[in-house]
Amino acid sequence: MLSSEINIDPCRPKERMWGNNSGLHKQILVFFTLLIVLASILSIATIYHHSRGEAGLDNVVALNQKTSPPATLGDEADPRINMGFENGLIIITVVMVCTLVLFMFFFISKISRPLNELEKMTRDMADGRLDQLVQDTKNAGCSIGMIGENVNSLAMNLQEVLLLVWNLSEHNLTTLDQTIENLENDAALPREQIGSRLQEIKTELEQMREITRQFEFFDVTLHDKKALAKDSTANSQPF
Amino acid sequence: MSKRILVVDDSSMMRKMIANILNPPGHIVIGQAKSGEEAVEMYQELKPDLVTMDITMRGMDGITAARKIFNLDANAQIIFLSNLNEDKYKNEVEEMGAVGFVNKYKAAEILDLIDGI
Repeated sequence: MLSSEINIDPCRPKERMWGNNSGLHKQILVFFTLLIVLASILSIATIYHHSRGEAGLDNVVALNQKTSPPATLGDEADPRINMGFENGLIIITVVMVCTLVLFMFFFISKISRPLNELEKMTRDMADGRLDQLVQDTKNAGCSIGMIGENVNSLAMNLQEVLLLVWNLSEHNLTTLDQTIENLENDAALPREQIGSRLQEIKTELEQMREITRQFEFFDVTLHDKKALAKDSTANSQPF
Repeated sequence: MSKRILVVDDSSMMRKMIANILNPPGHIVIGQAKSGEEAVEMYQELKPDLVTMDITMRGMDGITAARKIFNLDANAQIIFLSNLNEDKYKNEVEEMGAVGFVNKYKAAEILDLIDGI
């Protein structure tokens, strides 16, 4: 029946598929690594600029001591403000790098992993495998957890309907086989008995039809005991 | 006579189907649970006249949930409604004290069981 070997769309190009299991994971890792590298470059550049600034300031002070009278308080304020600004920039950069690292780990554990699992599960479902469900839907991020729960619900619904069809088919086939055998072996089988068996099959098929009516179908509608394309039902309405 | 019924099934489609069978004759679905844990909680809260119980569910299964409900209320009325094989499970659930077992493909038979209570 359902197995992992079934490929609903064998012509589907590989690049159109969701990719391998770690595709998204890798992309996110590359994104965060680039951000961290950029932040690190910014940090190194600031430190380098800061150290050069200090060296330059020492040279300026030495030169001033030789060539000019001692500087006033107002003249010394500018380099100190500049140094304070650079220190602040370094602290901000370090904090930014740490935040990015923490956010990356949070993102991977709370978003990327559940998304990968969801992607794998939905791909398996599309291939006809209903034996796997999304795990830890409560622990995942709120929206992702809800999507996982809804995907599980979809799988459950599909499984229940398929099992129902299976049971109904098996029961009706057994009834029909018995009736055919009786008719072949016993020509005097009462009409009431045949009628009763056929009525039983009819009742169960009607019930199956009612269950089918509970679904909304893509581009198809059930109209007057027929499955019709949604556009054609408009034309079939009597004027 | 109209009954207040708790429907327990992990499939939303099946819960809807069961409610559609129960509502026309005048029964009232007072709650729907999607797991055994929810069923036990809702039974204590709602005190329904009857429970329709699926067997296979994520988390606590229907048979365990029914045992817990019987521990809470020995007079609980539970009908099992499942896609599992009737011959294999009917005796087990009836020995436990359930009203009966109905396969989902002939779910309308629960109305006969309810009338017989």
